[in-house]
Amino acid sequence: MGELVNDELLIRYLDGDITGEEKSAIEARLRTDGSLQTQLTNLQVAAQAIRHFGTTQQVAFAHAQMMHELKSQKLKSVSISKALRYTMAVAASIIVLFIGVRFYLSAQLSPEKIYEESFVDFTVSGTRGGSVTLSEIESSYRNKDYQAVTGAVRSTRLYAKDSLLIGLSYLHTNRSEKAIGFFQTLAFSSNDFQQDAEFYLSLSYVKNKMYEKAFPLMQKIVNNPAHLYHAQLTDGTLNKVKKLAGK
Amino acid sequence: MALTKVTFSDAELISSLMNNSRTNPALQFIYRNYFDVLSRYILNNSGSEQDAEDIFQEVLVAFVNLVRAGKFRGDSSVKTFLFSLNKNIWLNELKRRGRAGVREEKYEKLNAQLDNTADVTMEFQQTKNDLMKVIDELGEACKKILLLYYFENRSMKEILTALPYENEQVVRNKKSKCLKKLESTVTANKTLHIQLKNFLHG
Repeated sequence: MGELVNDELLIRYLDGDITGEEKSAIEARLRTDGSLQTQLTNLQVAAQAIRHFGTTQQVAFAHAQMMHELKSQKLKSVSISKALRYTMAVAASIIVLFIGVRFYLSAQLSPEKIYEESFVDFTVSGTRGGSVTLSEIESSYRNKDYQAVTGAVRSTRLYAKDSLLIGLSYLHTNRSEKAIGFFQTLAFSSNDFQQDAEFYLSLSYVKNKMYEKAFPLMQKIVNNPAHLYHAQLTDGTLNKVKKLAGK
Repeated sequence: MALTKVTFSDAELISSLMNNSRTNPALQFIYRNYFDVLSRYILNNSGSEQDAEDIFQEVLVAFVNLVRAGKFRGDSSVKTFLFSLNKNIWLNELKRRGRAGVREEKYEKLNAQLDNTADVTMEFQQTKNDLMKVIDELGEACKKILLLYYFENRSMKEILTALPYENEQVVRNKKSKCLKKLESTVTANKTLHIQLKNFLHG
């Protein structure tokens, strides 16, 4: 057998493409011929080289495919979680802001504040109630001598206006519980100062933290555009009173 | 494009890789199920994300070659075996970079004793560039015909339909010449030759 023949035969032997007789002859020679064994090993190594290369290519193909898929998934989950985190951060900020504002407003809300925002003093004049000259009580009130006004309580005869001014004087001197009595008398009876009394009574209630009584009175004033004190109270005032009542 | 996600048991995985049938779905399955856990090991042991990708690719090449050479006996699960390969290949890479600590080297020695097949494969990875060079020197025609015959196990008849040759005898002659050419270039590269020989007979 020449070397070329040996190569051809060896390759066919390697490939399993050989007849029984030729196969036996080669195997017999392989048992004794070291160089032929080396030749066969070299061919086997070459065939293995191409198999290794094939595997490398096959894995490289799957690698490119799968890295694309895995990275897209990772990116997707990262961007979803990023968007989610962003949304949650915004939502949390809004909630914190909302709570903060509520807390601030709530902290700012007080009966005194509502009173100060809404209170408008009664202007003493002789045009309502029939009197043309100022009474002693009216004069004292105009002069802000509230002690003198409240001191007139013992007077045997008090006109509606006097009662209003006494109530107001109690309000000015931070004795709203006493003011309430005077305003109630006027607010729940027909007289020239009924609407004044309603307004000041509602504020007295607020100052005295009797919000459930203040609210319907204030609502009545807000709902009646013809009320003398309609401009002094708003829906905002009502909301504040409601909030104070719910505190 | 949506990829069909197929699941494999260890036995099905080995069978697919061994017979080179449904190989791509099998490899995809391995990526989906083991890439994260194996790459975490690399990332936790001084490796970068790129290292994790490269090493996983090497692990898979080694695994498929071992399976096809009948060297994976199924003594451990595929996951355990892949993990062992991953550690070996990475520690070898760290050693090559001169960054392996004493602890890793001790581990490597111990592991090499336990798993010689992984060690053989690991050494082979170092000569992969030589292999690529040798195959490139073959030329496209030889590369195609040898891959079809020795890697894809196609018959001469099938190769004849895939490549522009006159008849089966022409294909057979061409294939023989190509194999001889490859044999001479591989034999000329002593390191590569020894590595492949050890892989075959080790």
